[in-house]
Amino acid sequence: MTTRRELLAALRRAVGDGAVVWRPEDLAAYEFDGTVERSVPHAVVLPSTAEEVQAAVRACRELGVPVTPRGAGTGLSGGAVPLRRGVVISTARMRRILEIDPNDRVAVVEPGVANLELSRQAARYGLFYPPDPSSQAACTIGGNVAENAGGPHCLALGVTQNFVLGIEVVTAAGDIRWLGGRAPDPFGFDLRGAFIGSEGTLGIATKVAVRLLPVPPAVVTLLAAFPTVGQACEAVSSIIARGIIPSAMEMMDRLCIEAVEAGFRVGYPEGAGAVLLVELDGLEGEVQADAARVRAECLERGASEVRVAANEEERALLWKGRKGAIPALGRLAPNYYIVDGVVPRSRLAAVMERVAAISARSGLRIANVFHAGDGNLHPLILFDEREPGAGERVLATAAEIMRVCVEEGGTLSGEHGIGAEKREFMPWLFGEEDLATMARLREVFGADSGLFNPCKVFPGGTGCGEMGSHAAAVRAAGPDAYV
Amino acid sequence: MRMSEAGGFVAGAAPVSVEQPGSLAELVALVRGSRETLVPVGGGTVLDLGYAPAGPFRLVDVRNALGGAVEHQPDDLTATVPAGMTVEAANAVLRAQGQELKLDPPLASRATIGGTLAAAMAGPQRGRYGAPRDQVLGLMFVRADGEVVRAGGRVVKNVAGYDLSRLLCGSFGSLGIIAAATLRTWPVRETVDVEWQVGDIATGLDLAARLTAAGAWPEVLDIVDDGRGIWLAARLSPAALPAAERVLGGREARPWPPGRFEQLRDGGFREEDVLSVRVTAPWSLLGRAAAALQRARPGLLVVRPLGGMVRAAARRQEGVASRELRGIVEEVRRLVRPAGGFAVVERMPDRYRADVDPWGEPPDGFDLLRAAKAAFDPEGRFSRGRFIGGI
Repeated sequence: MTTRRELLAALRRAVGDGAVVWRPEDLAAYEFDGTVERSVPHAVVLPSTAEEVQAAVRACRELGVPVTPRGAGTGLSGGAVPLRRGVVISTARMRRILEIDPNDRVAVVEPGVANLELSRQAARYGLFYPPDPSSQAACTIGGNVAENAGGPHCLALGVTQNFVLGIEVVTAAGDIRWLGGRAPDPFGFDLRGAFIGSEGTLGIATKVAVRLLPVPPAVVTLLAAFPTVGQACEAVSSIIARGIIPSAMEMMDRLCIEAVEAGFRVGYPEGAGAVLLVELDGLEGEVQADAARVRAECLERGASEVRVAANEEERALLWKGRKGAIPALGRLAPNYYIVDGVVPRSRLAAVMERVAAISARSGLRIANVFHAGDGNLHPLILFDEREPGAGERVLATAAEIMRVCVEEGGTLSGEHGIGAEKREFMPWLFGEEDLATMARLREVFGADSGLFNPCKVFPGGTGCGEMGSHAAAVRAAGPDAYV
Repeated sequence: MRMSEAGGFVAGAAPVSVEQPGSLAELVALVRGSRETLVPVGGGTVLDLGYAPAGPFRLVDVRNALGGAVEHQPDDLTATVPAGMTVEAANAVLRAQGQELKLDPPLASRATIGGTLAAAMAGPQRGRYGAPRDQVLGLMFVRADGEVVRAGGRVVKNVAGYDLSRLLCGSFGSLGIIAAATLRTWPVRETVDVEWQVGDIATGLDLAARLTAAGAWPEVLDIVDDGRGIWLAARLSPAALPAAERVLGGREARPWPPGRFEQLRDGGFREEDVLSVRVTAPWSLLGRAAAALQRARPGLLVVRPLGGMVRAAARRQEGVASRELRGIVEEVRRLVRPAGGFAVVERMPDRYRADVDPWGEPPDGFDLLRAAKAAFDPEGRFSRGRFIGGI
């Protein structure tokens, strides 16, 4: 057994005194992410270079101490929570944009660079980085790689997986390797693609090369109000069936609309059962033609009103409601719990009915804000943690919703990851052999010892604690929680 | 595919037998029972690519084993397709519903879904829609021990578990045999095919950069030198045409000549082609890579800026001798390797193989590729020796 003193001494040798956090009051900041899991690490290291990350990983490996990588800690599946304690390796000090090459339309960044910061800097060259998780002001590119992050604008353009060209990683074995490069296709097996979305269980990204796109010259944002969620879902399907793939199609239900109006007064139509936010971008002529068709489809499917943002200010206001929806829900209840699931787009309306039935049965109010275009739901379960048993009821209700997603042909997560939260549900989707095949990837990166981000993604594992047994841990994700 | 007595050649080598399992169960039994290396093959359009298998091998034509119908969910923009079906056959089913796959490998009427994914063969729509792997939502595949497993799912957004489909796509049949794939489908859009004479490739690259910077996002945007001129060939939405014409202002434009799309797609793999070299590199290196490849006297050169690709194809009477080809390919590799690019000799006369390495030196981090092979195919059952570094 390694003593804490030995561990700290080894970490100081690896990264220097100033990069090791060890005081209990400082460690408290690293015990949680955007969800309900909690566990305090023994130490946190804040390396500045890949070599320091490597030294820290090797030190932990030698001592047999678990390692948990951490970006901004905005994750919503417990991925950055050190469930078996040990050492958290934070990328907070690795936040340089190393290069933006406007000719190749490539940026190379350190993992701690915030998503939005990259797009801001790229804007100087008329370029942007498309994946835009709602936490984009805070969440990091390294974290985005780990989670294969999405966002509202992933419908037409794709998710992190579609924009990362190459990754320098420190593997769980403690080696520094490039997966892919700056060219569009990797040479050999696509380990780059397999690493993306591996939730910090295989290694830590230390540099990321991403593809940038030219900022589209024209953007049109429409807001359609519908009497029911079902009608709005039908409109989504018929827009797609017309051959139009908007850059974003976001939906909010009645409860969400009420919360947003109470919070921000963005002017969403009163009494609507659902609002659908549709954004189109591209060339002026293309966008205007498509916007007219989207408008017609919405009206045909029963929209009571369709508004088109006339200028950038109006557009920002329409989006303010969407982006602020979750914090606004904080006004309706002291606590909320965000669920992330995906269903086939054609099953959306039916699934929303089943979610409403679950809400009625459980007595818990559920608000819905979701990426309708790709069938990615985000039911928000509202509750008050002070009520006895509330935590267990919320988790049981979330599990029931996940079960519905799987039954309807969907999946357990569209963008938040499996993390600690949903790993016990994985056998609903995958057979034992499927999971065992996935786990073989760990051998490739030297992660087979299970000490690299333990207790994540895969079911089982010892010493990981039991989900749902710590009702007291269920708390508000807070106003800085995002979808 | 060229035929030996036993069956098709693989990179110049003859198999000990050609197996044609008739069902998935028969394929699994074959995988479980075989001592020789198995080389899975679909339409056989890229069997010349890569090294010859190490040692005696059986060629496994998987088309009968992996047949069946397309399950199309038009409202979800997805389809689950058996790996043994040709890309063209799958598209014929989908187009009846106004949708299609954005897979356009060379010889799409012969190339199968499984082969296209395994060999990562992209086509003219690569720039806009991404590589074949980007179309994959889930896979079913046969593991080297015969177990049939799944990865991914059937929905368009999914982060549950490791994305093993990425590992299988482009693995060249050396990690598993793809049995079926759930793919994105796309609405068929109205487009116009137009091309502009550009004089030289550098000008073509510059115009492509300006066109896309202006917000045009063509379905196809290739620079093609077919020996009769150099053209920037675009497939655009009708609404994008005026914007394109503003950028290209004043240049001679014409509709695509007949067969242009097939030429862009199939060049290097046509019946009469004997040589094909593909380079993948960042945009800024494409011009220099193309200039070097021009010295190999190809009859057809295609530059795909948004896909980061250059391909040079030569028919009989075109091209250069093997030593000269080696020099050119090595020069291009020195140019693009530092950026993570590569140059692959996709097709060459068998007598060139002694001089010309089709893959080139393994990349940095090759130990991870070897570890992947060891993890997924520890006994080297699938396509042993065929891929990079003789994996």
